[in-house]
Amino acid sequence: MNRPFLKNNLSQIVFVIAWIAVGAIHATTFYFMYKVPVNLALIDSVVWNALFALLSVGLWFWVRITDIETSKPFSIIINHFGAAVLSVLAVVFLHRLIIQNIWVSANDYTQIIDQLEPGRYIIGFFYYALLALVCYLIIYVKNFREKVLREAELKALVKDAELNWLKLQINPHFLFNSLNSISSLTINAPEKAHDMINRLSELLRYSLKQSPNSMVSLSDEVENCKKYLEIEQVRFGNRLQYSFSFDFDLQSYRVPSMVLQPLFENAIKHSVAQTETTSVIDAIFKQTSIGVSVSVSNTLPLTPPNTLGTGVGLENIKRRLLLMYDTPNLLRVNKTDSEFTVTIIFPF
Amino acid sequence: MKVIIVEDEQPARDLLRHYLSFDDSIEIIGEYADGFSGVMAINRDKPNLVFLDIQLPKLNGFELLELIDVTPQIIFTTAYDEYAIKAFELNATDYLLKPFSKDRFLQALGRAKDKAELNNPTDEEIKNITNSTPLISRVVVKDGNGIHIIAINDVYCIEAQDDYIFIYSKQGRYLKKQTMKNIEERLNPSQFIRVHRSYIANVLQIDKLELYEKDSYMATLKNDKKIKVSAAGYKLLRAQLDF
Repeated sequence: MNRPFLKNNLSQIVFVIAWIAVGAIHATTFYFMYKVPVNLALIDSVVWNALFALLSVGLWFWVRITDIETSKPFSIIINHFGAAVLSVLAVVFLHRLIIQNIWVSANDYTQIIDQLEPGRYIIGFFYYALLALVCYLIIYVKNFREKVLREAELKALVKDAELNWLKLQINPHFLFNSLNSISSLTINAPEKAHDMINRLSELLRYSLKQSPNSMVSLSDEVENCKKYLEIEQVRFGNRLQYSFSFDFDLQSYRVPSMVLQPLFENAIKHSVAQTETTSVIDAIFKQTSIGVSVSVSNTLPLTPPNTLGTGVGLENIKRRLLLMYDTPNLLRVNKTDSEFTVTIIFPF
Repeated sequence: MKVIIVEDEQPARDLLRHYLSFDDSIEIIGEYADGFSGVMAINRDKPNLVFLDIQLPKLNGFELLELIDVTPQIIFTTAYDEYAIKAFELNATDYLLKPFSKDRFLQALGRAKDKAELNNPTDEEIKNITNSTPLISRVVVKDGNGIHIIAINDVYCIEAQDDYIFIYSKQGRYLKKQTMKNIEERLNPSQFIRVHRSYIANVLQIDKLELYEKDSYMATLKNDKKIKVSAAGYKLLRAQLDF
């Protein structure tokens, strides 16, 4: 995969055939239009096109590493213009050098070569431009195809996930424990039970509305997480303390839905549920140069954890982020003895 | 009937107390919010019946059962249905899935009273749980100094000692009443290997492995303890560590 240009036999064959075709046209043109002897026309064509074939390989790698979507169009044009001038000069020079070394005795033909030289610069430029365009076209098609594949994968994930989606979003233990709390509150504190039913309904409605590839505003997502925590607060009372801190308008950012709530669920599961003392969950939102960063951290209990964390929950989020943004490492985990932090970057 | 409630959520405790208030023969002698204080209270106050949640801070419900010296009747109250089989293997009187109705609760309570009237205390050991048990991430031990919770990764090795086991860990050596076979079944088999009839070793804590006699080896652990490795144990180690 290091050399995708020659990665399979097909592209190698196409590459060679294309250059043979170009070379044949070149030689034929020289032979018929300029009345050059057939052997000289052939040699001229072979040398000229071999040099450009080499140049095209270099050009390909250069085009491949420069990302057309992030670079400025102006600088791309300037770079290519400079590269074109240098490489055409080099090709014409080398071509002449090689022909003269092969064809030492042919003074007559040196004359012909001299005659054709100005034309070569123009043709060389034309070649370069064409090659660059072909490179960009290939890369465009390749990217397009990858995008289609990725979208297909995302769609497949959506299909796969839609059945499990609800189950994933609405943790049954959370649901049943909450219902149990409501059941209890109806006896001693009906008002509170009433509140909790409303909150739980809103939470469920929000979950039902989302699908694996839906995007929502960051503020909606945060509101949902707050509702979730308010419900958990009823269950855990003083054992749960949480805070949200941000100093910008969350409304203006769009993020994949239901990515944040699992982070709080994890924090509850591994922190609040594991200790009878107070656990603290802090969510910090920041604007960075590449996107919005969200850090959710929770204090860790002193006793060894009850469950072996499988990391499946975080893996699912990672996978979704990768599919939606096509950027790796958007989710990072940092664990110390006393604190567990998950940071997610939502790129712009 | 003396009852103890071990449940970490206040609303859930309120509900249990409410349901129990309908029965005059019930005396609630304590409510506890974590497994640790639950163990202490049960051993001290010897209740007839315990309402026990499974997901609890510090010690979970099953760990609590390992550490109590008395055998009260147990009614599990939990939102998790996946532990029901295990609960019945432990001779639990009932298993209430949250949220439960008053009728269902009274049925469970009735069952407990019937059992108590038969004057047939559950004398089966509520210890040494069998194979439906998920792999454990920590071991709980009780000794003269109190209850110790040992993270499984901190364990160097386990040594057989008749009906007991010695657990060698970073925090020290502990004695626990449990069989080798039983603890072996509950440990992650890719990390804990029965290297000898008398030893289970944590492969992550093995420092060195040397030939000792013909067909027998000696492993040095990271705490410098040396343990014997039989030919069969050596084979298992090789398969696991791929050397």
